[in-house]
Amino acid sequence: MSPFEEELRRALKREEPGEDFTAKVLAKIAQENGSIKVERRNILAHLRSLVLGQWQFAPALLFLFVVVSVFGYRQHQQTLRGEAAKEKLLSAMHIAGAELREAQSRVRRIQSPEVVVQ
Amino acid sequence: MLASFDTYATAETAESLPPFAEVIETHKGMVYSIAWHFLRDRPAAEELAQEVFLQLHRSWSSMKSADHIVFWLRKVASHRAIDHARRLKRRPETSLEEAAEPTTLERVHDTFLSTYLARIVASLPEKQRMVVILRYQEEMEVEEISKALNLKAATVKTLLARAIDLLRTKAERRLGRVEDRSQAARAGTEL
Repeated sequence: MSPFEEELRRALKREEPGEDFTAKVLAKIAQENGSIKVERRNILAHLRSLVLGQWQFAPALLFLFVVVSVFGYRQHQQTLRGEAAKEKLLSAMHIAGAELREAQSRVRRIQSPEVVVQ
Repeated sequence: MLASFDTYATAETAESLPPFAEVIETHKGMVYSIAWHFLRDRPAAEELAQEVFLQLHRSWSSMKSADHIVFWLRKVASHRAIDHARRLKRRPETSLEEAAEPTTLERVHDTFLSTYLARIVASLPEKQRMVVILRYQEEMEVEEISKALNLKAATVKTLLARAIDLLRTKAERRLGRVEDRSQAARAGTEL
């Protein structure tokens, strides 16, 4: 290191901050931790008040709940009716198919050459 | 000693870290001095140093070792000081021409030179200034400075060489004037 660089090193020697520096930093940390806790507590309280504290909206919410429930019930009933109609149709087709097969077999028997006319 | 984050990570475990208050006590001079020599504003330097330790506290769980803490503090203090100066568009409080001139050679050497050098360091461009502070205050190697400032080693060398040239020229010019005045003053008293 040259003499000039030595001078530079002396000029830039470390200096200490104020005596209460550490205490100030620790106080800031404590304050920050405290404010985080308070903030969390505020958020929870806000959510709680939103859920529990807004009683004036209760009738509207109840009405909305009833409307949604009735609409859902009707939809469900409609689905059930549709299912039942489908079942009936399938059953009718099944019966008609069986009767048709029976009729065809009778016709075949009548037209058969093995029948002996006496 | 040259070290990187990886080497710090394997050096010690987080359990072996010293208590946080002890870390502040040990390194407050280092962090404060980086800010002070860079900004030349004591309240701003102290505020910045406090913020650096607050940030360290928030990142405490990611600290790997005592060496890692030192590296981290130097790096964060440097970047924060540069950001602070840029944000405030801070200029050195005293320009070269405004620096007080002593009248005797003794004072020149004992007090003025150091103060004067510190002031002209503060008048350097931001990157040159921080490189000089990390090199001569912290006695960091070029490779360490390059890691701390995210610069190439060659860039750090160039910045350092330019800064030294500039500082030497300015210091010689000013000291020359001081010596002339001192000799003139001495001649005046003899007459």
